[in-house]
Amino acid sequence: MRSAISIVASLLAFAFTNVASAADLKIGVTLPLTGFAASYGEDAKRGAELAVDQANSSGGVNGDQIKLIVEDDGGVGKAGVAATQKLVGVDKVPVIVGGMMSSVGLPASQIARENKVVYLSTMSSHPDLTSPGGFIYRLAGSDTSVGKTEVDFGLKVLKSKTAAGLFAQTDYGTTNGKLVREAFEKDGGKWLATDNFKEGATDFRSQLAKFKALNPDAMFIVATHKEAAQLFRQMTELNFKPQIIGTSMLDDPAIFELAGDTANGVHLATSKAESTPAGEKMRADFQAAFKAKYGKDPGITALYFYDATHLAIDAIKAVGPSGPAIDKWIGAVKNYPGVTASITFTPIGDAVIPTTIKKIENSKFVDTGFAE
Amino acid sequence: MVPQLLVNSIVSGAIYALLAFGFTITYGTLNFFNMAHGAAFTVGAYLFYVFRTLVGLPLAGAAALAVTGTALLMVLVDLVAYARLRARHAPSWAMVVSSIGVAIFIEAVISLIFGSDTLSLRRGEVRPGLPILGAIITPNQIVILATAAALVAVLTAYLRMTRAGKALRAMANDAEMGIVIGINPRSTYMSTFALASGLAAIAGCLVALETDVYPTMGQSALLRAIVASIIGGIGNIPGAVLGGLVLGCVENFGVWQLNSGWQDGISLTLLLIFMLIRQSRSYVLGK
Repeated sequence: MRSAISIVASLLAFAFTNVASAADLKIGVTLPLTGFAASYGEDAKRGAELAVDQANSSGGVNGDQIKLIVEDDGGVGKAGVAATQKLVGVDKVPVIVGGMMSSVGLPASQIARENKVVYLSTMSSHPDLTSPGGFIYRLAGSDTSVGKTEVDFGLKVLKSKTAAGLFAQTDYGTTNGKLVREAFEKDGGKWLATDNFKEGATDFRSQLAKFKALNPDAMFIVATHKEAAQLFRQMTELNFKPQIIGTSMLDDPAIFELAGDTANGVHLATSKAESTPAGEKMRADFQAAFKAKYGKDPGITALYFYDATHLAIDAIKAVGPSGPAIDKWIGAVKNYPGVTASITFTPIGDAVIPTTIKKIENSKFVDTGFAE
Repeated sequence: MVPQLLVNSIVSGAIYALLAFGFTITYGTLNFFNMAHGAAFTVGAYLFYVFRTLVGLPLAGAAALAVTGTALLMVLVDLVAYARLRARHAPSWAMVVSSIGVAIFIEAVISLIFGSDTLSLRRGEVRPGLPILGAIITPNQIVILATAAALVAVLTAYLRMTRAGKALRAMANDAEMGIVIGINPRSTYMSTFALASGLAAIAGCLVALETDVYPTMGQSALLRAIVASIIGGIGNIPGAVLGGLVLGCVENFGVWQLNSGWQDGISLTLLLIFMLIRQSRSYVLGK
């Protein structure tokens, strides 16, 4: 018995020394692995891990391996703050990839900035996320531009005169809802009603009954693919068929399986990927590598976390694991090749990304060609 | 719109009633808030997914196996997590803490096995529902209503007419007296767990048919079960059924006038009101 314990102890010691020696170049990641957004988190984690695996298998950074430290932020602010504080204070990472949800990105990015750690926000689109002061960068489009594109498409292309909105009760959902409504009314549309639902909701029938009575031409929604799948199915069952315009949260192939045919005809605003041959090739390579490793197609979160992690690795390669140096390097990138888009940041850290509208047809995303 | 809201209310109310039924008899018999009641709901839904989608059994067979499996599992959980506490006459809060542990454990195991992704049981094309009296009702909703109504009828008969049912009610009323007059507490506790978790599993299967399955689905189910039980007077079986229906109505009609983000707020306000009312009277009505 005693010898068994000593064997276990030495194995443990060995395991820990191994971890310690490989932990030289750390990149922190926070994403939701539990809670309402967990299925996005799984895919995002795969994207980030793929970027690290590719870098490590091609020699790492001057022979040093990169280690990803993944923390669960649950998609909510409180857990996101705790996870970020752990990465900053305990792991002392120079750069954090996170901010899938605005609720996490808003507080977490401030903690990173105060500690001179670079915060690469992936999909948070809250307008308040970025501000002068460095250290905070956003890869996705800000709500202000995405909302405007959604409204322009609704008014100009779909010729919708009246609209209603159903938004998740999150920072993202309420902000997008407010911006869309303001833009729609400003450009001459008639806004009929807004409603919000608690994240993770599965039953929308009573809200839909309310909207159906108002009969809007278009409905703007902010919902995860899980929520949207229920929503679309229940709309079909209630025989309520307005034009639907959603956001990049629907840009995930999982929606086809969950919603089936009921997702057909839905429009969604998402970032416009690079359409140059080099960009196309990079995306195709990524898709193939992802499918080979995980046996499924990547959702939009995987793309963003791949790009952000890739950017962090390249920054460490170029200037070493120091927050301020990485901040300087990332702030200066021009047309950095990414699978989401070619990345250049504005002085306050917003990626300059055109937004495009995609349509779901026969369980496929089809580009409508409408972009701003 | 009112007929539609009424249909929605009754359908969600039927699910809440099944959940509250089990929650309330567990409280009555074992005298503790079983925080793992939502876990039985989740297990039922996942077993249903396994037998229906992975094994490919027909609907009724898959549901029967899922419900039996959940009931057996929860009887086992009783032996592991509660029976020893009971034997030591542990206070009620110790049982509650133990049940919170069970709930977290089960949720984590489900996430480990199935992942946190949402799984869908739905197959085939989604069609518009049937228009009835100005409302639209789907075949699945009809199944939910029929199942819930049949179960409530059968269970009421069981509790009133059979020996085991009477024993269960007697224990719920006064456990010590029940033991004195010769009721076997062990078998009553076991049948309570089997019945309560079986009902939660049936609710899980019905919800799985309607929506999808995911590991945290039991959390809101538990909240609804608690609220409905308290509205009906905890321990009171007809009260729990009525409480479920009232909760369904309040939630769905509340959405009509208020922003639906307030849905949980509405049910919790209702809970608060009923707790205040009941505190001034006898807390447990059914006894």
